[in-house]
Amino acid sequence: MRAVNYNPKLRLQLLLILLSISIIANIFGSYFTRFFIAEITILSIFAISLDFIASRGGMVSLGHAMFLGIGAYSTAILSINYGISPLSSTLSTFIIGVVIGLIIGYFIVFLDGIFFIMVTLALGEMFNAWVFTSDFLGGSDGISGIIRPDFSQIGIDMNNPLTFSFYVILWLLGIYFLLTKITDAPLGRNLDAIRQNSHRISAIGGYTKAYKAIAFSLSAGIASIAGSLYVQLNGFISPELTHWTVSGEGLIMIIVGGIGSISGAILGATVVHIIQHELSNIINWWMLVIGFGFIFIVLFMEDGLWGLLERIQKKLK
Amino acid sequence: MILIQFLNALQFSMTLFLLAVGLTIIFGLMKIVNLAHGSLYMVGAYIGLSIFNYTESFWLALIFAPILTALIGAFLYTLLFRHIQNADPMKQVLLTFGLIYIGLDSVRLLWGTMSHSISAPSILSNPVLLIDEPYPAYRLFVITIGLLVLFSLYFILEKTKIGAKVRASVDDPETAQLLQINTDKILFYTFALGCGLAGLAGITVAPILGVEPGMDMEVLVLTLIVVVVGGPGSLKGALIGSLLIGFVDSFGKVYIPQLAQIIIYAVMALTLLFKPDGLYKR
Repeated sequence: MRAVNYNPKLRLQLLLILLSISIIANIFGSYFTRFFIAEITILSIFAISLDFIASRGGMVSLGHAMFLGIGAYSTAILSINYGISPLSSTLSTFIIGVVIGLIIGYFIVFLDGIFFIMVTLALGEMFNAWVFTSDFLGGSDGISGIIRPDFSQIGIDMNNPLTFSFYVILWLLGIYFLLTKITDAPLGRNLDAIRQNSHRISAIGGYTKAYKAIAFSLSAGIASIAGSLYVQLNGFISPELTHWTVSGEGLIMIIVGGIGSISGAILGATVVHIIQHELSNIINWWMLVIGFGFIFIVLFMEDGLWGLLERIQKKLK
Repeated sequence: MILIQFLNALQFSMTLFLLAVGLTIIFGLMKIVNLAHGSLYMVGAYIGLSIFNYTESFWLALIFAPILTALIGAFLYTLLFRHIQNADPMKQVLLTFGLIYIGLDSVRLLWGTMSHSISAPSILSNPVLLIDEPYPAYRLFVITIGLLVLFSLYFILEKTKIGAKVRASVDDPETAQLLQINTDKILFYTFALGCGLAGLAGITVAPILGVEPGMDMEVLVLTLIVVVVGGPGSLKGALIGSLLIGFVDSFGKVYIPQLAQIIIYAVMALTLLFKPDGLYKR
């Protein structure tokens, strides 16, 4: 993995372009387009959470769908069983995700490379297996009847896909700015240093483990928000959401977009989701195409679409 | 009753062993975790199915399915794996993740989405009496195959010169190269062998579990756990891991069905907490 993609200007430009496209498409699009935009935005949040730990912390998680699931199930339980308002549920799932992420992170951040990948994969599958057998969580049927936040008092109807898309876009923007701030803050700097040479950081008295665990838990919290928004969008949750292939697809999104440039993750999520969706409508051997596409990108497009944009920008100058 | 349980667990362990040993040797030599290992298992079963349907002979399927799977493995190695040996682990994992998609869709397009079955050869289709309980002879046959593979691998790795070269390449590839060991060639053959063993696992379980798309995912995660628990890169580790996971899973499903799925993961979590390098450190 190469050093951090550090081009804040391009990062912001790309974000603004994607943002304007989504706003225009949302205003003029059909019911289906709006739903699709909300879906892409939520996947972008998930991709960002993976991008953050992969690029800043050098941690590749193949079990992050677990946090998507934690966010989704805790939102469902909080709002259905305990009658907590949907917005507070989303905020609470962030905290739940952070706490669980911190506990798990504490035990696994010392692992590196392939071991980290395998352990996160196994933990994710453990969660998946548990969800499938748990009666409390609805087993293989999942849970339905989850409602969206209610802002009718200020005249906003969240059941309108137009407003709900804008609502999730706001969440994405908030998370984007939080993470860009963290990148430049001591936490981000420390993480960069740890990723590049963790032994040296330990030698000068830095807490490598603590910083990595904090980064992991923050990422877990963000993935939980994505899960929470996802169930509010769909109104139901299926345990399939926690399967490890969901995490794998998230990683593919950041590889396609380009690791380390938060906007690249959003671009990757957009492109991958659109291609998956459109291809599966046209041909029935779309998985074959996608498989070859993944391999092509891994082999030949080192920095994904973000790298492509950087090169284009350099040529224009 | 307990004897039957024991044999079922042993049979499952042997299937896991056939899968894990390939994965673990490839990991030991290349430091690559091949997520498509389960796909090779599935492809092996399907190739066996076609041979069985065409020739109506299980024995031909048993011989040629692993050989053809090994050839696919050799092809994949030359085309892909050789080039990503020193790449970042995330790229390696995602490349093999792409292969899962390709494997699943190829199988779906070539053989359809229906599940198929292969019948065990007539000699093995009748149950045998153990003490006074009948037990399927075919499962005993699978156990025998697993043990045969185990002992031949052990013999090759520990007692022959080729085995010594393989061990040297796992322990220290650079020194091995200095000693004129052609590590590339060793990688090529062990990779193909590992894939062939996955194919063997596929065709041997086909008469028990059937052949269907999605069978790759079920075993993949279990195999990865076996490798992590046993300690990656070693034959003994793969054996210890498969026995532990195979027995915990089989007995768990009978005695505590509610928790069976979770216990395996708990075993793995505990192993990693107390012995991060696996139970058997090379």
